[in-house]
Amino acid sequence: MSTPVLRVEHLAKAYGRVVTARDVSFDVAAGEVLGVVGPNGAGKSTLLSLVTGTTPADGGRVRLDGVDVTRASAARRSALGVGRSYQVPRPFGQMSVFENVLVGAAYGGARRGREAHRQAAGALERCGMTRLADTPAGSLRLLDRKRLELARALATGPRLVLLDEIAGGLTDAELPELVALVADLRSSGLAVVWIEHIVHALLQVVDRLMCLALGDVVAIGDPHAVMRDPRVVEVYLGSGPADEVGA
Amino acid sequence: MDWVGAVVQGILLGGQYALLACGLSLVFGVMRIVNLAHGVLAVAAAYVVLWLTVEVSLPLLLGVVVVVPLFAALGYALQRGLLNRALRQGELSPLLVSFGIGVVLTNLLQETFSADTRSIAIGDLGTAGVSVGPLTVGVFALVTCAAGVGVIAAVQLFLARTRTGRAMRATSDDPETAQLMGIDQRHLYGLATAIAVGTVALAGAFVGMSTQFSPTYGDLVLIFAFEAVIIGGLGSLWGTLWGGLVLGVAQTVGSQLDPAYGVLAGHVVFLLVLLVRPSGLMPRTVTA
Amino acid sequence: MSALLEVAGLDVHHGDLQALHGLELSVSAGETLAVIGANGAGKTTLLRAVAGSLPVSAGRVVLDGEPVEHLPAHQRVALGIALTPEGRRIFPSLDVEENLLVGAYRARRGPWDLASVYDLFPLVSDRRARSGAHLSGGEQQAVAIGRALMSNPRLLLLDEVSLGLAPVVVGEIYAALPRIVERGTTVLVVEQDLDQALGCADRVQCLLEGRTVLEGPAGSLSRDDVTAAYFGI
Repeated sequence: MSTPVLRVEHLAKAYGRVVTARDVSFDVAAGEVLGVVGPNGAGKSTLLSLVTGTTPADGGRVRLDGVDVTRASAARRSALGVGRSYQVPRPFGQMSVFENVLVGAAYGGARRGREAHRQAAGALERCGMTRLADTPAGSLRLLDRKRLELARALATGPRLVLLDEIAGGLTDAELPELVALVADLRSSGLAVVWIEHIVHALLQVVDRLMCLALGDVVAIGDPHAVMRDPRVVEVYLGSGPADEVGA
Repeated sequence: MDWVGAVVQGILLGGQYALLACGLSLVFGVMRIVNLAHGVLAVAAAYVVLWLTVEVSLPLLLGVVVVVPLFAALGYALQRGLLNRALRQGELSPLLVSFGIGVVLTNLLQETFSADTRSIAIGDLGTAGVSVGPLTVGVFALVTCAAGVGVIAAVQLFLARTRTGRAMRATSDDPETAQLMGIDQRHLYGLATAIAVGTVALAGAFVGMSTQFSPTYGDLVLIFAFEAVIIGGLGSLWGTLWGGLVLGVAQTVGSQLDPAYGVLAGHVVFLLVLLVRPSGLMPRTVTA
Repeated sequence: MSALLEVAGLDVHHGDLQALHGLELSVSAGETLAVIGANGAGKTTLLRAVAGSLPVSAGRVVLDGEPVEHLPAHQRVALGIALTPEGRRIFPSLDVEENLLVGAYRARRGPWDLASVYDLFPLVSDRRARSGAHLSGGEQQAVAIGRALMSNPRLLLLDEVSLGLAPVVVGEIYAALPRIVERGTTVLVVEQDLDQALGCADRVQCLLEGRTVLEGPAGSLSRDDVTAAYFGI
């Protein structure tokens, strides 16, 4: 079997007494979407930061296409093909959609001039944003801002895309469009990790699902099986492990 | 005059500065507003006292008793009418609005009272002195200082012990949650500014009796008050009292070195405190 | 008979995110309603909109027949709505007793005062002179509930009581709930922990992305029903 695009091995991270990742291992292949769910404080966003390299890990390894990048900087990982979207889209509101994506292509991907333009145009097209290229980003509706966020991540030419809670706030009519877009990314051969608390949106597209709670992997595998797993139901609904906050 | 005398004079002067600075400190502590009109309001109060005593022929004490509630009401109106609105626009807006109020008020005073320097006559009180051991201390300076300490203690007690004072401290901590306790922050902010402007009116009356003033004298008052607040630590009333005393002593001791250096010495101490202890001598106790 | 709280067609937006979509909810006097749902379901938004901390875009919030959606938060307190906010929000520069007294700033007549709150939470009584900045999570939660009670509310809104607290502390706090209800306060609680919600409430309403997906008497709902509604699957 071919090398997975992302392989995470025994990843660990703690902030003082608060453990946000404990022995987390999983991998994602090209053309695969891995969904990540978990209640507040599960360590989902930390996991993304550990993979992108904005937060250093306490232990464990992160491999991209088999290459150990555990010690590599976020910029280096971006150049090696890690792209991410942010939970709250923050485009440069005064700039056009195209210029916003170009910033991603020129800086994130370390490309220049004509190639950056081509890359940006391609990213816009993949996200169905070409007709909005000249619109100021500040005037976009929510779904289009999320598309722009994706296009910015794609403009760096990634092999792996990390999506952080992109479905929040969308209407019932818009949600399928976003899901279809993620499915397109998969069929173009990208590896996708999608963190989301809107579970029914995830279930429409992910190949596998991972549930985290307090830094632990509770379950990983077939999405429907994971959501039926009593341990997963317990971390959401039960009086599962709680941490005493405060002095 | 010897060094001990200079220090004693400085402490008495510091009481006046503390009185001037009390309202500035309170408004900052409760609302995080730096009221740039603070100094002009003091001078305006001095003019009103002057007018009441000269034109209306009120006795001086009665003039002062009238001006304090009058200015407190003015403070409440300014807060409800202008500053509360400005607060909703962000942090810079109240600063600019208070600057604007200061400019308008200064010009209004110039139109009404001309730019000539004036002072409030206090007769024998100005020269009366009492002997304390080898020193002779001015009675008027003693009264001013006592007023400063008394006002600061009273406002501090109000914040610590009363229902409204507690509500002010709660609002200073967390305005949104304070509203969930049934506190109307617009009214409460109005009360805080009423206290601030009322106390600075009293301070202004004392300034008018102790020195020559003109409509633009407010700039200097604002600087001294501001320095006292910063030296003591932003948002701390007892700190403001200490800040006033430190500033006053620095000025009189500086004058003792060379009469031209008094005010400068105060500024130097202010800068030194900013350098060494940027949070002031007693940071944040007004709400503690 | 009319409900104590009636929420009808409530829309609330955070910027251009719509957090509540035409939400309907009603709580009868003396009843305890638990609102459950995943992160982002709109539970906290609902409580804040009822308390007046958040503006509503459309819809009505009616307390005992009187529309209150246009009133600022501080006036709703006077009418009998009290909220213990998410994160407790104890005033850090006030001590515990002062926090409680601030809660009584606009108190209505009723059974709750310092003595009865201390009686309800002996833990709070022991800490009365302690600074609000130096409390454990459980102490904060008890002070926050006591502070809300000091206004003698007709409707008490409790947000995320158990979040981040050790189970034993959660148990102690929930043990006080029946004593609050029996003194005539109606409770609307937002809770992530299903067992706690089912245990304390007469009725449960489950939200998903700003809409109600399931509601019913606490005893009639199976764990499977709730799970499906909770995740929308």
